[in-house]
Amino acid sequence: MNSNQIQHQQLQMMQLRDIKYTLNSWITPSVLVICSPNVSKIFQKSGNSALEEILSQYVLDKKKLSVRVGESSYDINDFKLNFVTFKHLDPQHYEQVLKDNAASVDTLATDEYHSNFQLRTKQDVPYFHKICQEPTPWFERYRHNFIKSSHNLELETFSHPIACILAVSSEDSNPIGMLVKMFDSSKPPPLFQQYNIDANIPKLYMLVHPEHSHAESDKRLAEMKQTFGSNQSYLLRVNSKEDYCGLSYDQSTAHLNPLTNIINEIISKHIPAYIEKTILELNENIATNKKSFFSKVKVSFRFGGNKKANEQEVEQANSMGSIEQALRKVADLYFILQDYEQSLSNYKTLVKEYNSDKSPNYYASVNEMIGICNLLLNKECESYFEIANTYYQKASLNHCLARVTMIHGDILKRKNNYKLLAELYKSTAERENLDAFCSAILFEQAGFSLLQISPSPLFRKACMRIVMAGDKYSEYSKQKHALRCYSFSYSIYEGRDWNLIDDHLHLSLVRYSFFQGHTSDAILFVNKLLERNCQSPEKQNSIIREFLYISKTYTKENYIGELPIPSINNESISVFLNDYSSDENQAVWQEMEEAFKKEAQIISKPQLQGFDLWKRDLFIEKEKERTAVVEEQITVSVELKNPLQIPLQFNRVHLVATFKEISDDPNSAIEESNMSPLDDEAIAKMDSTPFKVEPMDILLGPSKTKRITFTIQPLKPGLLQVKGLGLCMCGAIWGKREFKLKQKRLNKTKAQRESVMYEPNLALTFRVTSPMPRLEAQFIDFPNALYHGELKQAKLLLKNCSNKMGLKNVRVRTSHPTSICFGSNMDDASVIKSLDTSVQLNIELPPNATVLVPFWVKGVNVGRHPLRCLVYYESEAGNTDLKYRLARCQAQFDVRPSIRISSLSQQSSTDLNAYLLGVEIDNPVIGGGGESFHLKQISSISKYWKLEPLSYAGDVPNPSIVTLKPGQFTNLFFRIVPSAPITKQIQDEISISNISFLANDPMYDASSFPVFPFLEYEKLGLDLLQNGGGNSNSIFNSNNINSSSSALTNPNSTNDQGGNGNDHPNHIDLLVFWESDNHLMGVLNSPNISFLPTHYNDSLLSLPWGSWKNTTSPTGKNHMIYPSLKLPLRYQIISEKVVKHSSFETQPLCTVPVTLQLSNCSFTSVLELSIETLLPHENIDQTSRHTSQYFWTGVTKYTIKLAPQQIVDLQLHACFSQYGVYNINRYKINVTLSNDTHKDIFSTTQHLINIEN
Amino acid sequence: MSNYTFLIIGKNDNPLYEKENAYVNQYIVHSSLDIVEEHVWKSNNMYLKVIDKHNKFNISSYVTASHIKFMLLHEKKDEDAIRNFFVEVHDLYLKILLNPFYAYNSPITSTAFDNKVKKLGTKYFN
Repeated sequence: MNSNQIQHQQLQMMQLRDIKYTLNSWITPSVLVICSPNVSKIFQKSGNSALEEILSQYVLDKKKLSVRVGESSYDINDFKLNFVTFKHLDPQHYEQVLKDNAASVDTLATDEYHSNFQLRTKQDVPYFHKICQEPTPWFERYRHNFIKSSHNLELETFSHPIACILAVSSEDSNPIGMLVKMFDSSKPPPLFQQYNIDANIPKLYMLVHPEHSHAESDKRLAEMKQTFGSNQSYLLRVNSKEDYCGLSYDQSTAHLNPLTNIINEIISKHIPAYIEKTILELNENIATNKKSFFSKVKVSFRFGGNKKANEQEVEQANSMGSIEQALRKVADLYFILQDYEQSLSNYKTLVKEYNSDKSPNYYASVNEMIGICNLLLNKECESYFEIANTYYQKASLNHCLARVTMIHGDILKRKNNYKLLAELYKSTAERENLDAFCSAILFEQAGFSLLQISPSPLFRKACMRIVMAGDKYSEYSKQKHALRCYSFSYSIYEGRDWNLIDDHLHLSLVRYSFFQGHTSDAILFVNKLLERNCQSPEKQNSIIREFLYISKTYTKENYIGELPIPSINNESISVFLNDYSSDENQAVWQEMEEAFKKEAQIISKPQLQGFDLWKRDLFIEKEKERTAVVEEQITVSVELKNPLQIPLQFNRVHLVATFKEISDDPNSAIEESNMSPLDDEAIAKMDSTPFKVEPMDILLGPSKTKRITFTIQPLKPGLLQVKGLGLCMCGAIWGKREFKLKQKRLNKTKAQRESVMYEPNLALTFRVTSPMPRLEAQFIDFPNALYHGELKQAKLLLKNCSNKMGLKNVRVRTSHPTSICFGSNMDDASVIKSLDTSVQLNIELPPNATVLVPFWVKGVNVGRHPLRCLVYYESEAGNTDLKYRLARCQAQFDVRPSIRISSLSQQSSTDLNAYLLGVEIDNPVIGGGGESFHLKQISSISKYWKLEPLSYAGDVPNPSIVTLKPGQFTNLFFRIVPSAPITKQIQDEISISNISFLANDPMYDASSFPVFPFLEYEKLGLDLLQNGGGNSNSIFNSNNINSSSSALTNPNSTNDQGGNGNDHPNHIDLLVFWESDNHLMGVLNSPNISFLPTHYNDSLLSLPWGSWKNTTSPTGKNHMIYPSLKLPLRYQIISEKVVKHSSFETQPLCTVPVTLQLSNCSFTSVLELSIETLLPHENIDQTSRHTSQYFWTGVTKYTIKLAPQQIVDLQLHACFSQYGVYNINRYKINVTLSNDTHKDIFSTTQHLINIEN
Repeated sequence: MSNYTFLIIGKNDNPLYEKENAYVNQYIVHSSLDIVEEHVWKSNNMYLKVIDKHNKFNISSYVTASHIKFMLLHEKKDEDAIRNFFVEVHDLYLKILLNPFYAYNSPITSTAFDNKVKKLGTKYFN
């Protein structure tokens, strides 16, 4: 578009805005063009045009018209003519004109008044005016076209033709006869008669001569000139091969064009002559009839000097016209001559003649003309328009009414009287039978006028008018206009609970959004429409029907994109792969899976410490998509809900996904998806696509929710992303429902914090990798129930399901590592060193092979246990994407209580290197049905110690004491003695002592498989419990902290503190073997039974003494306390018990030698001691107030060092002065605990000496 | 005058209560809120009389002290009846407000209120 054209358009817009310009184009005289059928055909053929159209081009330029009427002469510089045909004059044609008018502004129509504007409150209105100064640019053009084309032949004589062009073709057989017939003034066409149109108008005769025709045009023209006069006859040569017959208007060549000549002649000769003549005649007529005129006697008058043969008829026709018509005609002609004063005075005379009640139409029309004259003369005119308005209403002339409304409206707008303007537009727009488009335009204008009212715009009313405009536009099926109106007004009602308005608007918006191709908006509004769900089921049914109908009609290939229903519970989406599945105890599995990941060294999380922790976000590993294997199904389970009150049918519901091949060049990657209707054709082709889905039909009842599982099978390696569901709604329309997964808000970088960014959720993205073997695992002979401690053998069946690939490197991890021990005997056992490592099975499975792995189960903790077992394996071929795969199997077993063991340990009072162990075993099940247990054997495992029976020697005297019926218990006592001569060297071998209760029975080997590994596992488990899963080396760390203050920190022995030095040797592991009547056997372990020297008078060093402790833990929850070896000192007094003394009179003192034996129980530390006897007046401790009856002689103080495991005898001498029994306890041992802490130890055991006569 | 439409409109142009209705009536009542806003500060009375017209309908309004608007769409003008109706509905509305479980400016769902308003409607407009 060049600048000239733009300028032209702008100029046109400016002109259109001027109502005077519009009025002038309305009151443009017209020339009737009548063509013979042949002529019409010629023009039709070349460029689909018509003669009148070509003629119109010639009057676009300013033409001059000079008319002299009486004394006054008129020069009109810009004279315009309309060329019309009968068709145009016919009121029947008016409908089409209105339609054309409506269509003429289509190009100007917009979807929105202003994009992204939402009117919600009054405060938004000024802003709207600011951003959108001209919301309806089409209005002026429409107004122009509407007014210009609105003619009423009955009321307005300026629309009567003032000249006539008759055209015949030279090929017509009798052109002259035809011309005569075509328009006979004496016998005018019916239209002329009906509306009393003056038939005596100048006529021009035209002979159209196509260039290729051989007809004798010149001869015909001569004939024509003879018949009609040379001034009125023309020849028109046309070239039918060119557009517009080569007659199209061109300024440069216009003077050569025959049509220019014709037009010029019409304007310069024929029309002025006609106007002059007519005005003179009419004026004369009016003057002669003045008398009768005032007396209101209607007299026929004649005008026009063309007295022809049918004079009578003409007279009759004219007599139909009245003096009023003459007046009107004169006024209109003056108006055409732009003599508005003259015209006005005529109109004013005329208006008096009409009775407003009898002929409201004439009355209104004349008032309108008066108004227009006043307007053009810049005088007051509104009152006349108001009258015209009222009487047009009365006469039901809706289009005249609309016209006068528009003219009046323009005046009101200029005066800024928006309130009245809105009312005027509204009342006109509401007229029934008014053209709907016109009505819509007026409603819209009324709305914007209401918005213009200041200071408080009536924005709610405005929105209502605009909605009404929308209704009218939709009535006229102008969808773009309707959508604009509805969406503009929607914002004011949105979210304010106007239920019926909402329904109305939503429904309309759905329709028109669809019509306009805004499918996503349409879906949005369908959602909103159905969201409230307050419509009756019937209404919903019809909404759905309409939705289906519209979407089917307006979408390509029946595919609509996102559907509004069913609703998907996005939180319920869960994915199952063959490798991964979900159950309620997902956490347990996950823990094990993580552990395997760690083992396979797939994750390399940096260990963060100190300040790095601030930046730990940076080190969090990016979540990776999961790996799926080609040809193995992926299962997605989703909850679908029908939110409506009607049942809904969905056909061929399937997963939709996109598939991308992985390649280095991201551009070359081809992306494929199945987001198109899954019709039969698509199903047939599915084998060649990169993935395969399985469709299913679903029927959802009203407000029903269903969990449905879909599958997808990848067929090629690549990146597969499941997007949502594709479905066919009610068998009619295809669409999809996307899954909206929750995404994590990113918050790491500044950019992420400032904008709202989300991490992609990879839950539905899969990296499809090349084929892998698939292992299935299953427990065989797994016991349902076990007694506490019972041992049973079971098997794990491993099967390679792949028929192509072998697998290797099988590892197993279980949820109960202490209860399972793989292997059948010592040789093939797979024992783990720590509980968080997996069991490596030395297995390789070729394709389709099966293997049975034996293992032992032990009931460790009482209760019901779901045993989960995760099997790790790798492909023999190797796979970089998926290093390993996991198989799961699980079993459930009960552990019932069997027997309980409590133990008591105590230092021996006779032997410094021996301890006492009491074992109480009870069968706690009370009541019927309990099992009887027979104790078979008791074994101890320790590095330095062994057990000796104490209660009996050799065999059990009575077997009943080792048989425990329900509710019974038994006590057994043992002595713990060193297993070998104590050396300083630390033994590596463990010593095992087995004590059988029945000599004849075979012995169990406590160090054999699987008894020993289970003990080890149990100990590891206890360590884990104690240290909260810390590493096993730090078992005694906690004790270390307690004892650090009291530890024996001999400067020399500090090096011994670490490692085994802390693991005090005074403990044994006890195993009790039992059998039941049903030949079940089991072992109960009591690991780590400690026995330590005790020092009772010092709370820091003492231990609870003599109490039974549960040493088995049926629940596994007992917190075993490891007592620490705080002071590895034992001592005892050895002396004669009875001393004979002859007489104290002769020998006043009796001296008894006493040996104090001191033993260092420690294997590592050296003890520094000083032993002192007490003076008679000294108290043993703060509490005792007794003074001594004996005293010490000889050496009373020793300072010694005790090497590990050393026993020293010290000689002391007690002196007695009376007979009696004495407690030899008056000494103290001072122990150096560390450099500056010393501890006094007083004897707490009594050693009695009887001094007898 | 059995043909009437009654709505209670909250502060945010949201209907709190309505007697069964046609969507056009909702539009009319909503558009009249503009006029209510104009009138409400011009008068000391809560009853604003007929404030607007839409074709054959008259719209009367009554604005409570807390700016809850009662809107009545009716054909016949009978000011006394309408005034009494409004006053009595206001009384009922105050009782609803006293209910601790009713939040100000939220839709009134009480069926008792509904029944009473309907009864008042038949009393005054039939």
